[in-house]
Amino acid sequence: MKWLSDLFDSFRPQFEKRGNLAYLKPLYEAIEFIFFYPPARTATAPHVRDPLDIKRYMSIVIVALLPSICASIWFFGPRILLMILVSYAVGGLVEVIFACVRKTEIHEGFFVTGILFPLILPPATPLWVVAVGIFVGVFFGKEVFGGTGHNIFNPALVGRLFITISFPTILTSGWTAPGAWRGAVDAVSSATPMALAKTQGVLTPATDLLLGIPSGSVGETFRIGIIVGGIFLMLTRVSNWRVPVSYLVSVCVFAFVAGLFGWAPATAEGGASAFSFALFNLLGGSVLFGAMFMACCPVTSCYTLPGKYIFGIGCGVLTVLIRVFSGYVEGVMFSIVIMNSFAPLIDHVVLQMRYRSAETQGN
Amino acid sequence: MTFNGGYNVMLEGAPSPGIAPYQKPEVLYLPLFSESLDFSNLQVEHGEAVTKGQILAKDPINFSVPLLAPMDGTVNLERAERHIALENLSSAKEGAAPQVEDENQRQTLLRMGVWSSLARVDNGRIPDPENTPACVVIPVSRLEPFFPDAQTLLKDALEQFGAGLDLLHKILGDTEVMLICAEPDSGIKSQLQTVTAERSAWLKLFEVPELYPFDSPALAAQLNDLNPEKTWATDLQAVLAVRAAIEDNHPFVKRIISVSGPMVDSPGHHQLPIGYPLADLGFRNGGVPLRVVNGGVLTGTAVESAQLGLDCGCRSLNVLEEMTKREVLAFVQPGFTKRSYSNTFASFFKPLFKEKFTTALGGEARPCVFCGFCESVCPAGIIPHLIYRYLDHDRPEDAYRVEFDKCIDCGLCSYVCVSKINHLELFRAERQRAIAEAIEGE
Repeated sequence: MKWLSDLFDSFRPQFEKRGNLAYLKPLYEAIEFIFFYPPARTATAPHVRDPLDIKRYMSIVIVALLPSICASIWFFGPRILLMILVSYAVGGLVEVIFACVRKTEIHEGFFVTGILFPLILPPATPLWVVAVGIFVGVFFGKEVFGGTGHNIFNPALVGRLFITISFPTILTSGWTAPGAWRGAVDAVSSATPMALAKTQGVLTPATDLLLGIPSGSVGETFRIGIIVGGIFLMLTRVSNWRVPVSYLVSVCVFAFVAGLFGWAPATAEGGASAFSFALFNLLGGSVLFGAMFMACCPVTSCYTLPGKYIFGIGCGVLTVLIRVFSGYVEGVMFSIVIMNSFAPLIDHVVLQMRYRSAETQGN
Repeated sequence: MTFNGGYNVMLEGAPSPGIAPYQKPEVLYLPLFSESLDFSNLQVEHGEAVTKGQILAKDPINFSVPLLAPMDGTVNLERAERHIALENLSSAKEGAAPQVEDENQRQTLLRMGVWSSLARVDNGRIPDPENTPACVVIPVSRLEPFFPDAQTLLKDALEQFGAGLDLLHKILGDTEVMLICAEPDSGIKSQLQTVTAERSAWLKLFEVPELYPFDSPALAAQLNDLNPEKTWATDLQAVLAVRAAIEDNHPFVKRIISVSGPMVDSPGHHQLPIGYPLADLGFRNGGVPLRVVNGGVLTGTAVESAQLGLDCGCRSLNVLEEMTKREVLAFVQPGFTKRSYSNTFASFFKPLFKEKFTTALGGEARPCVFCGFCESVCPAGIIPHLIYRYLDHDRPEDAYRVEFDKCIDCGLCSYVCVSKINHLELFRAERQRAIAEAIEGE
């Protein structure tokens, strides 16, 4: 690697203060520091530090997404790679411009946003829509709040929300049937399980959902991969288990309750059982993907431990409510964005209660 | 008793038990400062011959605690800046410290250099000799890498330790004493149980899991509902020194310190006089820059290059390699040799091992992403990232509202931080500010 470090050294003066490319210094450093870490050391106690850094922390999320990414390429073809590429290119450009203007480092959170965003889109989304969506997501979802760590909403979801509202036709027609690109199935596009349930009252079987046979967003169809990735993320402690677990449990519980009240769609057999409705709600749509990779985002969910449970339960309740009562077929995106906006309030209330009770005990 | 958080940093280079011999020094360099003391009031002149135990300087801010001559010799004030150099050394006859009439035993402890080993739990400062504590907490096992090991300190000294505890109890106005012991299986606990059994009225053994930082006196005070303002802390050697000072008239001028860490050839314990030249300790240096840490690697301070001899507060020296290399693609390497609080390295599949840490930060500083590691590792049950944010935004009153005063200064939040934020540094600065404000208020 000596030649590469020499190469970086030879370019460095261009980006230093008086160099003619000084304004691109954040970009240069981001690229250099990916290959060669800066020799940063501790200044004061503690003199030793845990080796985990934010680069690896974010990379672990991408590793956890690999099963979903590979499955989506298998289902929907190499076009998915193009969508990911466009997402990274446009989102990265926004990130780099902001970093250069602000003269700060380029933050790694973007590597996760850039991969999550294409995974929550319909497979047939035109590339220019991907570009518009990631631009809005990174720009309005993150950078205007001050960058990674300061954003209120999950940037990928902001982009998706923008597309949902601005390009409704894509959201109704973009559902390619998995395997259609290599001729594995006859149909070119097919309705998603959530739409089938809403319009025709058909609940897709759980095994089909787990294997990813029905249509859906790019990354949400192969649910075994999502579960494996999500558990991996929780075991590494990169995601806190409290949010996904409480989200999934509450979806099950509230869908079961909805089933008991007879709010489940009527099927040909004359009404789904509450249990099968609960299972369908757990596996169908993007609940698993949302819970494992979107809701647990540490920046935009609650940071207090009781808050994490409240956040997860709130997401679960809203998801089921939107699915059952609203005109939309899927409620995961809305529920997480709504709960994102409530997260600071929940944390505030939790802290108030915790420290008020401590004060009264002290007195 | 429920214990929150805690984490063991497994550092290579633990000191081996037993006291290793050391090379006799030619000259002693007594620093006129230590982490908490500043001996600005000189009591000797250049060229003056002094005897062992004679007062060389005093700290006027901290109740005039003295800096004592560890051996007979001649004072040289010009040899090194901010140090008293002691030349023409000769070993004194044993027990040669001068007797003083009409002195109470607290003043004896002060004069013999033992009092400066006491510290208030709430602010870490030396307590007022006029005050009386409700409890004195003494950590027996030390869990931060690396302090002198209790086996070595108490070897053949258990009776003296008991006698020291008796004296301390009596001198400090019949105070209660609590020993913190974290070694469930070693011989130390059974030995201590015999000591406590005879003194059960005022001596308590507090057993903690073998996990850093449960040896902390401040944490013990919190968990046992002791008033931190009336709780003092000290260490094993000080208890032994109390007995030696009162019964044998020995000044506390020699300490057993551990010299350890990955860059020491044979990590071990040495009994060294204050002012022992650091250069004579012979750290391994194969051309790599080293950092010598005074105290444990998590909370200690780096020894400045200007410091030439052991200061009077030193309990251990840890030697680490300064990080100078640049790691290549570190974030995608499997990481069989790196251990992490998270399970994001391949070493997760290996049995526990001791790691050769350097002073590497291990990444770049970033804004907090609320990963929650600092909260889950915090032994005091507070939310370090929240307190950091309050203090960083200059809102100390909010920080205290969310129980910043519970912080025990263990440094684990900074250790685990993914974004490489140094909470400890800011917390210490705030505590210093608060202490300075309190002193001004007085």
